[in-house]
Amino acid sequence: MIQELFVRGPLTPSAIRRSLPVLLMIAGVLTIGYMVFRQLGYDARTIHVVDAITGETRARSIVTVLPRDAISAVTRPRFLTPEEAERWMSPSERVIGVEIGGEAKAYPINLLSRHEIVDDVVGGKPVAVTW
Amino acid sequence: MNTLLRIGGAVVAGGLSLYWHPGLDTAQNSITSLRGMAGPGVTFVWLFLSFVWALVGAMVGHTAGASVIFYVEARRGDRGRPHFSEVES
Repeated sequence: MIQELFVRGPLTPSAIRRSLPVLLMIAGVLTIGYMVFRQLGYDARTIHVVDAITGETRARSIVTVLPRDAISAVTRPRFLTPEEAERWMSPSERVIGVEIGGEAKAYPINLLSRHEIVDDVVGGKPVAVTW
Repeated sequence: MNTLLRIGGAVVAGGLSLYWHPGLDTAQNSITSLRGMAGPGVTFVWLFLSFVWALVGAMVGHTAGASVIFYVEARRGDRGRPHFSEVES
């Protein structure tokens, strides 16, 4: 029986070749469906969190929306002088300002919203600027 | 009916494989961290791995469905076809 599967059954090379386009289509539709399923949070796992103050237990959901490292951190930031920055930033634009040891740097919120973390060195000290 | 059974098997097994995917996230992390990737590329790697995993699952389901059909038909009788051992190669 097993031997027959390879000789004239569903496992012959031609049987596999014939079914491949349909299988590719099914896998594609399932993968897209799975992405939507994850985006909507239907695969959320429930954890129980204990409130440190009241001691109350609450159920919370963990939803995986993006895979790990999908949002890229800025590890080697480049800076402009205030005069250069004036050309592409508006005067009311918000920034996170860091001043250590006499060195001052500004990180635009606009860019941090896309990258979330900047690893940098300010005044000789390593800092992580997050938003 | 035969086609329905095979395609049904592929859809069910492909869906189950996406529900149960041990190591898929680990594989994605290994690939992206080894290549030092970040950003949209990571999502593409994850998408590609999920697609391959679903394809393998669909293939297994399709083969299982086809094997059931093959087995049932073999039990019913060979419909006049000679057994492979009787066919001269």
